[in-house]
Amino acid sequence: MIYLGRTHAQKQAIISEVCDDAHHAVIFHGAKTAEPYDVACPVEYRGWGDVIMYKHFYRLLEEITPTTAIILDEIMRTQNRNDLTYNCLLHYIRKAGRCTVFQYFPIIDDIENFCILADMETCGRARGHSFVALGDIAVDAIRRDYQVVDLPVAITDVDRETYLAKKDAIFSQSIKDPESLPRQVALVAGNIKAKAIDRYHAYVARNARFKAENIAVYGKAPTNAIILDPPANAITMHDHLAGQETTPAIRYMNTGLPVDVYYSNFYRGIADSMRIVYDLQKQ
Amino acid sequence: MISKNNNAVQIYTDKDVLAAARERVSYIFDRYENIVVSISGGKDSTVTAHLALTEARKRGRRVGLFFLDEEVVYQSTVEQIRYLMSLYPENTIKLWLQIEFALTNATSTEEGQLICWEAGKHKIWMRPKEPDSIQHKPWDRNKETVRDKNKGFGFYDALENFENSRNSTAFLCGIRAIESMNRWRACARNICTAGVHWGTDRKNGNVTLYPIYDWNFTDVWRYISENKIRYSKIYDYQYQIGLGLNEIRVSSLIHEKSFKALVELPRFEPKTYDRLCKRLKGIRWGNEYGKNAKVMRCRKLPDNFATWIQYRDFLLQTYQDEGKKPIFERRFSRQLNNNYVARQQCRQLVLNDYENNLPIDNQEDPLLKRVEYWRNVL
Repeated sequence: MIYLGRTHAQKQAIISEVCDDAHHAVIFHGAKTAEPYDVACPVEYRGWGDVIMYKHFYRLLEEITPTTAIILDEIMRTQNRNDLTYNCLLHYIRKAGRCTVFQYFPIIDDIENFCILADMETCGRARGHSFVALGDIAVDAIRRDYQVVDLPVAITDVDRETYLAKKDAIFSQSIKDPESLPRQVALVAGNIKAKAIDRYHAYVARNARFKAENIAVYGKAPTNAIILDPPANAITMHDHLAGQETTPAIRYMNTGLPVDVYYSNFYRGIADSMRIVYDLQKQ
Repeated sequence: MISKNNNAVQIYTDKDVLAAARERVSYIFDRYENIVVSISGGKDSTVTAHLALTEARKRGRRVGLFFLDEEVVYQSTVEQIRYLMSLYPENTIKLWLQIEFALTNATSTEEGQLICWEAGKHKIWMRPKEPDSIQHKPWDRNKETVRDKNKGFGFYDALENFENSRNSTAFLCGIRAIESMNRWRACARNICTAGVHWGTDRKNGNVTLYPIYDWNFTDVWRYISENKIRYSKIYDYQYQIGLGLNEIRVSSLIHEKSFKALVELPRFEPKTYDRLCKRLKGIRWGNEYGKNAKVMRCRKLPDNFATWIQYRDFLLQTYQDEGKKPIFERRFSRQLNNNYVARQQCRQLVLNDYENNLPIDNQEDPLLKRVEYWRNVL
């Protein structure tokens, strides 16, 4: 079964039930450190990096039996459906014959990401099928549609000129990874937005360059903090938002500069794709 | 397997891969009088050889075990080959080939080639030749073919001439489709003269067949475990240091695709490493920089160059082997001059790949298109 949108407490209740008749449980977690659960049987926690390690792989293949409860806790960390880590997880799941999948949001940034969860839930039988051809997948979803709320920030012509000049400077450097360009340009826009920051709200920025008490970095900021800089990728944004009882909106400081328009639309696009997944799975 | 819509997909059937492989081997024995298994000392060829030897034993027949000895291999590989060749001696024809041929040395431009088993250098050979190996070319020298005379008689020439010296022979090979798309193409592209799709036609009515083409990594290890077959110790060393599943492999030690093995070699087999250092130049360099992104892997541009084109020109200017330099110059002059291509050219120069075994994707720099896209969006 794929459980979407569960908080830690909700996961705990399901895990207790799943592990009731298991003699052994293995919890694979996507978070850097495991968040422990209260489980009646002996339990082993393995992080994302451990999954492919030879020293764990063969031992686990020997130890996992049909009475082992396999729990995948927020394990979707890359969009490559054929990633070695997913392949290894499938080997474990096939030994157990079933697994329980927890994921707060159903996708990373593309509708096809949901197939990764489907692969796990079906012990690999969904492989090779795209999202529209998945067929019946056992999903129990609590909808976590997030809204993107633009908070307009007024800028001057001088700000616009500064933005263009700095953007040109970034593009004239030797570029090794073009996909890093929007992230670099977003920092320029972030600096322009800094003048609109007040002391009464919490903000989240990509790094600690503002050195202000109410501006934290991703991973340390409260989930309802106003977005000053977008994070490096959608996974970081989802980590920032996930795990809450009520999903907060993405409150994005938008100057109207092209980079802000791009990021605002990017997260709106993800939210739309999520709605499609929820709606189709509901049918 | 090819599905109806022409996509490459794995289709699961009721038959397990072991039963299917045994049927294939049995079919090969029914159809061919002469059977030769090519072995490398790795896990896949070990399984293929074991399957063939088991069938040969059952039928009271003999199969050839062919090993083209590159001299610079792990000691564990040599021990594995000895083990396989002595497993069922009454059913085995030993074809351990120890002849002179040229191998690329990716770790040195000063000594860009190793002549394996070079006459007159027996004092520094990695080990003495096997007493019962084939030590002279077992084919007619007048009919000998060489792919590229500039490069000399190489590994693939030795393989090709050995195959061509035989008629109506089935060569069994342990490659598996899942390892790479190229291997999948080789395994499952066409129906060969043996009437199966898991094979490739060769000259003189010979055919190369892949009886374990549909096996997974785990199937191979399960077979080894259940049949209590010995396997190369290198796998255990790699297991102990926690290498990822995609990094665990037994290969040659010095060519442009396998030099990374030198990084771990002193830990695994210190004596082999010592002997290799005496045998060939560049080994310590390969040991130090084999996995370095800025040096041998050419993944990152060294700090003192602004572009890959600059770096490529520098490497070409300072390339030591004047005999091989024109090969690169001619090749590069036919290719595009952009940073995408230049990075690949740098890799060829650093790894001394005059044979073009790491082919260059000669296209416009895809990075520029993405930069333009982002310039418009942002």
